[in-house]
Amino acid sequence: MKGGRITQHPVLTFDRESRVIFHFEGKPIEAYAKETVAAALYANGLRTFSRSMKYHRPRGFFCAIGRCSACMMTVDNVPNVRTCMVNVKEGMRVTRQSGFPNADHDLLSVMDKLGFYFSLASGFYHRKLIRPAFLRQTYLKILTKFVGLGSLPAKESTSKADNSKLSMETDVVIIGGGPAGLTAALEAGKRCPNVVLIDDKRMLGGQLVKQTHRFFGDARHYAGVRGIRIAETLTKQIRELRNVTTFLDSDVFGIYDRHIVAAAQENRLLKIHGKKIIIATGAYERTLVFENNDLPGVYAAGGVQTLMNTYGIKPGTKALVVGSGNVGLILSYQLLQAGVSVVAIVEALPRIGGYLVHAAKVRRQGVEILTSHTVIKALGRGKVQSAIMAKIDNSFSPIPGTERKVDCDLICIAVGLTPTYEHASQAGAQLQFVPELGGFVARRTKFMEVADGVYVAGDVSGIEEATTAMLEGQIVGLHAALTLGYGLPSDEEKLETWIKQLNDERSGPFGEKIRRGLEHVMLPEDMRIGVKATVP
Amino acid sequence: MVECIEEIPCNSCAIACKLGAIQMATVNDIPKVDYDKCTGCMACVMVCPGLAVFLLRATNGVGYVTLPYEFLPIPKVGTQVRTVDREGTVLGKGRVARVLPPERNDGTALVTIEVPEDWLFEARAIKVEGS
Repeated sequence: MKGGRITQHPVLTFDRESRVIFHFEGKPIEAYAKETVAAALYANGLRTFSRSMKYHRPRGFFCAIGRCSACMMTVDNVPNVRTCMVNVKEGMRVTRQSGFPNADHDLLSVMDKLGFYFSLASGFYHRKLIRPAFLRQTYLKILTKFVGLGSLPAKESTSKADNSKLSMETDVVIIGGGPAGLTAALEAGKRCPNVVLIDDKRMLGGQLVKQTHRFFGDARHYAGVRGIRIAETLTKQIRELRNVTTFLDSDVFGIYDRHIVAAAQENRLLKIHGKKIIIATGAYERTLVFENNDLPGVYAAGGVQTLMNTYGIKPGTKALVVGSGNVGLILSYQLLQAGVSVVAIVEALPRIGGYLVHAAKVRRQGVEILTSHTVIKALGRGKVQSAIMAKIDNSFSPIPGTERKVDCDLICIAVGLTPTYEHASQAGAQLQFVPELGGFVARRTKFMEVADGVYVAGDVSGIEEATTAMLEGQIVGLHAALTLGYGLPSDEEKLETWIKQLNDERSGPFGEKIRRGLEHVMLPEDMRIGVKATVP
Repeated sequence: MVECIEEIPCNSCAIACKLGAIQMATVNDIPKVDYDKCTGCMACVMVCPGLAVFLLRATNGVGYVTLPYEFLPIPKVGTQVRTVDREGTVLGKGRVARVLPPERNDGTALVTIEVPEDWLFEARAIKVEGS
């Protein structure tokens, strides 16, 4: 079985021990046991994963981490399953749920052409499709079918819901098992008797698991080591700590009363009361507005990395990368390593955003980096076949006459990230919009405390590098333990050393933006959090 | 030759060097190489996350460039490969003189190519047939 899979990779080896067969719309599909349904379908050539609700435009694999909902399908009679989050199982039955007669050939896509005739403004169905009252249920039924949200399974055809609940008390709860969450869990776990780590994926490591490149940073903190190896090392250390309970595949849906973390793990409800809560939920990928940016083939940089570095699936053959920050540059290099050619990297700013050494790696492979350029349109029937890019002026508007068409089947969007502030906000943190940190972030003390006993660490506190995220994790893990009364000798000094190291990392020209951003959200040293404080 | 021109928070080369030949005052400093202390052990070439360290040597008009290589296929000693400059333009052929296999350095092979001496400051990557 080869399909769209990468057979040889200079850095990675893929776990392809056991094979399974599942059924997709009646056809048997061969896959490897550790692949997600979405990844296996992609490897088998599927590009249209669903249709959009109103205009029935094709939607493809986009984010690969359970955020974008473009890959929702009906799996074993359960509708709206994010197929990028579930692994394949022998005999599983998967069908797409939107489109008529099916998602590949959708007659309802005529809406895309006719939409403007009907002036289908957002929410028109709430205003128009409610009268007469006796027809409301009928409208609702038709609309549900039309938008393609699947149908509820017959009672007897699904497995009985497991109504079990798990309630527990613990010293520290860490939400998110990426670089910041793992180091926080390690430091807290070395000191506190009871620590809980929750993550919504099936493996720990967060975004580290797809970072095949070696990291910059302080050599005492994994510099020169590949991200995937850091994930392996940290995960192993966590597993060795028997007082750290890990819940994988668990979605935290709320933090109540500041200290109760509620999560859903398959059919089970987890209710975890933590004396301290550490939020390390990372960030979302931003998208970019251009014509046809929803066409299958336009994917988030992280989604492409998941596909090729976690599952070893070739995302395409010719890629256009949008954004020359470190993510865009590294992604381009990884695409080349996976045997995908990169037609160009476009950057809206007049200069390269990321480190020049990263840029040099792709330049010497012959990849063009076009500054002051952007993509203005994706073209193709049902999937990306080419793109139009153009030079832009100082106000970021395309300059007429500079448009250029390039052939590509992949457009990777690497235009930055924005923090996932929701949990922090619910836990009582005060948010502020700080563009330098990527969006809404919580005001915090020097120890990253954002509300009484609630901490943030990593990208959720401001978009930065994995190396700083790991340091922040260490700081909050240690501070949480210390304030609970669990300390080891010389911990106070350790805390100060780490804070100093973090400031050192940010002291160079690349840390300038972060330093400026932090000035807006750092609370004065003498202010205690928790007491309702009015911030100047 | 350390081609690291920006003040990036990274000191992996300075810590990797057991001889103290690479000096950095802070983690953001640009590495400074003391060529009298450097023995050419390549510890910095192996570890640099920017793949920005190259070992250059010239003997009797022949240049030797050792560069990190993270693609497939891995070239064999004695074969000819295309040598490219910093912009990916092909300079010409170069002979592979030495290879540290990728499995010895977590996927990053070190390849030494034999090139004319005046390419020493130009040759920065290779293209291997079949890649």
